Amino acid sequence: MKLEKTHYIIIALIAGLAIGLPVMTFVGYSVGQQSAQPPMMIYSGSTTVKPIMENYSIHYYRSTGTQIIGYDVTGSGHAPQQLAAGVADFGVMSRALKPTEWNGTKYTGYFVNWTIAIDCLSIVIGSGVNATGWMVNGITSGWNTTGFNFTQVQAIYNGTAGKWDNASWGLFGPSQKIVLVGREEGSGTRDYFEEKVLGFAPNYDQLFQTNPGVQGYVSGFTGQYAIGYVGLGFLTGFGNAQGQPNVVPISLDGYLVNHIYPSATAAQDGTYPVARPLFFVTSHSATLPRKASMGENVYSFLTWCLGPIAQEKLLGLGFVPVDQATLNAQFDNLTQSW
Amino acid sequence: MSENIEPEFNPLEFKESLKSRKIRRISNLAIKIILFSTAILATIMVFLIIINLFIQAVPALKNLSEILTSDVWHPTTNQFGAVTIIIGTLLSTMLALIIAVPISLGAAIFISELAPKKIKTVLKTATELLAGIPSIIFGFFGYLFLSEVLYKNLDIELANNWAVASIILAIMIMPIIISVANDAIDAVPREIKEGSCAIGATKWQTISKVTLPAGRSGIIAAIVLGMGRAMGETMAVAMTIGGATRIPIPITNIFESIRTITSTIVTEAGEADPVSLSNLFLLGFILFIIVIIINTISMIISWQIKKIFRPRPQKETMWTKLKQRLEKFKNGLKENQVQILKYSSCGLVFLGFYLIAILGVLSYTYTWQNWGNQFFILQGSQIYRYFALEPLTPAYPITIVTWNLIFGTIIVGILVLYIRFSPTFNIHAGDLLNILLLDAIIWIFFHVLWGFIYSLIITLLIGVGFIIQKRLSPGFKLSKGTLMKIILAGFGLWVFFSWWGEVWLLIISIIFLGFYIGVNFLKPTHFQYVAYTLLTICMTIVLVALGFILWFVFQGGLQVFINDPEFITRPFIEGGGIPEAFIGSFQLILGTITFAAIIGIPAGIFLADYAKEGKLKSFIVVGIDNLNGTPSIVFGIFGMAFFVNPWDPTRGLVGLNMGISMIAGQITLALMILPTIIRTTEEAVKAVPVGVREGSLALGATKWQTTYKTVLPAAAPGVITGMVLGMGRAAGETAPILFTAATTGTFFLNVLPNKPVMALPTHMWFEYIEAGDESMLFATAIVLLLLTLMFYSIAIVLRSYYKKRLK
Repeated sequence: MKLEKTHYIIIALIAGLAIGLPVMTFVGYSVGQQSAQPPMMIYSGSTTVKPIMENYSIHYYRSTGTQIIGYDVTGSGHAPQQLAAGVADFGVMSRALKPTEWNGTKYTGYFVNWTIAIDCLSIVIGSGVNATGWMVNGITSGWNTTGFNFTQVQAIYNGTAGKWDNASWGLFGPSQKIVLVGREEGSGTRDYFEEKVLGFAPNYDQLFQTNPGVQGYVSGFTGQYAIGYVGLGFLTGFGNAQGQPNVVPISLDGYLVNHIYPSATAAQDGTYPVARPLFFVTSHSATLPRKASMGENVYSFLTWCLGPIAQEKLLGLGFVPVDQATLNAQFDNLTQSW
Repeated sequence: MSENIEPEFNPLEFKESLKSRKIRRISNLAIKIILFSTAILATIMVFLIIINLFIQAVPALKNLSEILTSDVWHPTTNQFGAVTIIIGTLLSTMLALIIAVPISLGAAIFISELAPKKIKTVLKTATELLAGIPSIIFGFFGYLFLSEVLYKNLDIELANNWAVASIILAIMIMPIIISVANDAIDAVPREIKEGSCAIGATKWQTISKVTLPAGRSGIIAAIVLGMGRAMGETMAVAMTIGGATRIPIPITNIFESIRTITSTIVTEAGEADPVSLSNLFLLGFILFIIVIIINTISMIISWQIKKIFRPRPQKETMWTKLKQRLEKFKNGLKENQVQILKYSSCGLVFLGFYLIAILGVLSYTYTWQNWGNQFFILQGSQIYRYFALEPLTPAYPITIVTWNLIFGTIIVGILVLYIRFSPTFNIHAGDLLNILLLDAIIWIFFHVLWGFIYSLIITLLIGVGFIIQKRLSPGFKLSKGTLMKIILAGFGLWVFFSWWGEVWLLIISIIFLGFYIGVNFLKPTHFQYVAYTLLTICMTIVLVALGFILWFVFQGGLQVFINDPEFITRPFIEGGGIPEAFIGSFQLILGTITFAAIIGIPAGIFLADYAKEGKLKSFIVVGIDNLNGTPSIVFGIFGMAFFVNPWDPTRGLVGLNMGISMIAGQITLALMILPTIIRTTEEAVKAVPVGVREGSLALGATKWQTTYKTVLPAAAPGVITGMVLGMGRAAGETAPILFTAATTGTFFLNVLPNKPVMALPTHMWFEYIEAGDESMLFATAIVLLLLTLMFYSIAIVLRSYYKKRLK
């Protein structure tokens, strides 16, 4: 059996690719090593803040050329831990630092947290519930007059209410099973919702891995009888061709009239109950002023995060910007020494 | 007469030749060692995966009992009860097999026995091509189309559910089952088929009575292989199964949302904290062990196929002696005694099973403290709730039912298979009915209160069953009286079970009735007609299902190609283009094939040319086959733990600190396609005629020179085919690179091996979880589909060309 020309060509092609790639990558690698590596910052901490950081990193890289890379972004507690270990340049947390974490008793080092965003959860229901004359507590239908109190939400999520027409819980919707939609295990949003609103872990019917996933399901046809929760920013842009909302945000105050709906202002001034600040954590020494001790790169990124460009992006990411007074106070704070 | 000239002895030359011989021997040995070490690597990797998963799972081992008994899976509060997850895995696999096995076996029979030769080639090629559709595209089809269609047309509550996932799984494993079963049926010697036809059997009788029984081991191997695949499938399941941690109530509620081990790992491993990660590793470990067991069973069966048609004198072993003794014992018994033995042994097994189940129930009650419900169950007839359409109470403890069901199914399955294939017992359909009824009676034994009337009726029915079985010997014609009895029995069953809401057993009784009537009243040609129709339907279902998926993807994405063709070149961050993902996929594929070829080709050569038949070779082959069957998600988490993680034993991290990087993904993928490369290389090298080798050796070439200069060039097309196949597989895989190489988005093209890349399948996955633009997803799916199918079709064309040349 003899080899033909075509075979040699194929062999040469494959071999060329097989040998060429490592060579190319090696050359690329060495070139990359020689050329000045762009400045890089590493952050650790909460998964809740991760989407913000991932989005910021793109824009920040474009404007300044500094790369921001996550390491050990698995939980708020890891932020001071990695900062103390010197691995991370800054941390991100979905809760405030505990005194033991910042005053030097648990870790060597002094940490400060800065509010860079507000996480506000909105409970949403599907269009099918709304379309069939949705009523709560006897109040007429219409998505802008609906509200729950915490007990009702808990009854819905632990399965006691069962169907949307369970009058004993003040529900007068269609006679359909309430489909409980939630986020996957380990999600910061889910943990916060369960901790703040429910107080228990429900048995969800359908799980999704992101806010848009929940939003997509609840706003779609298949999720018309579903209830779920999403970050406030994902409520924007809802609506079908007739201008009616596919997903209905629910107020959580339990009042009969004048509901407080999830909104940026309500989240900022604390009148809407399911909102929490998200933090940026920096490491300091006891002697140097704050700007000097947190490092030049971190300082400029923090000021960028507190600035208007970054704050405007938050709504698109599903978070709420920080109100101006708090921002100003933090800018003042930046100039102080420890 | 010619003179005998003695060559003059030259000591210097002799020394030289000795020296060169020595060098040759040493270099040959070195080459052999190198080849051997590459071959053993695959087996080592299997052990490495097991050990690594185990090391990662060690922190979770202390709550192993919780994992296996509790049904609360809530990592945030450190509750890791995986009962629902493990059962979900079994349930989804089971339903997928129920759907896929009959259809794909029908299709396999159609391809090998009915289709004309030309169509046969086309169909075989088509099924092979369809095996290459990436799993993420199946998932995409499932969640965008199937779940919505089912939700709209059936009155179901949850769009993503068990049924959707299992249907998708079934479609995915069909090509695998078809091709393996096809080979098994084709391997049945022609002579025995012709013999059957010669004594007057119809073609269908030949197929059903001769060909299928002869090829049964291969068919079982195919089913087991499909089972392993279904169990390890990740992305498609994660996208369609819903994800609720529960067990359906009743267990037949296939529209309930459940989850599997693989979907749990893939959704949670990315952002899990160390404690829950360790529990996920334990789950992965459990899955891997289950899959290894399944694969090994499949392997053992396929080895036996080779032996079946070449019977050898059996060696005297303990096993054969035992068999002979059993045979003697059986022959010494009377017919009645055999019957008694048969039924009592079945009964004992069932009794053991129920004792275990009841013990399980009792032990479970202590942990759950659900006395009220327990009391209720033990009072009522359990069989009702297994298969009833409506549950009696929603708060019914699900675990007991499911454990019972699973144990029951496994034990009944083993029993039926054993009885069916055991040489000592011949079982008929009547026996099956009796066993079923026996099953019911033992059930009743444990539910005395409700079971009194129940047992009376069932006992009567058993009597009927015995009558049926006695009378239905060959040559016996069914009299009208017996028929009436059967119909009456069926009616009784119906009354009884409809009273209990028991549809499942009604269906079974109808099937049995149909079977009896069919056997006694229809002619063989009628059967052939019905059977051929069914086979054709099976084949059509397979082709239509797979064709529809292709059509679905293309109709959705074509518009994007027309309206916005720039998305192929537009950078990702400027509106979701795919150039980075496309190039990233190519980078991954090329690196993968490089690594896989460096290890795989020498290993294949070793297996074909150097390895001697023996324990070591079979050890290596077992390793390679197990690596081949390893679920892709296991590769993913292994890659994460071993390549990506840093070396920090204090935190339980024992990795090579590559970080999430292109090279980590390439190596992980290379491990995955290594078996493909090794096996195809081995086959290609083996296919080179012996004469070629002998010629080379006769000219004085060493073994390695022969291999390198003669055999390898001749085998090159085959080797390349394997490489291209491997590239196709690497292109479509998501789970292995999800935690090792993939990034959600990048703002520059990456050429560095230590940086993460985007790839087409992971890009689709991230777009899916972020509920991205659907039309863009469709377009990406088309690109991915074309890429993988391109590799597969190149491989198929190469191979057929190569085969023709060999002739």
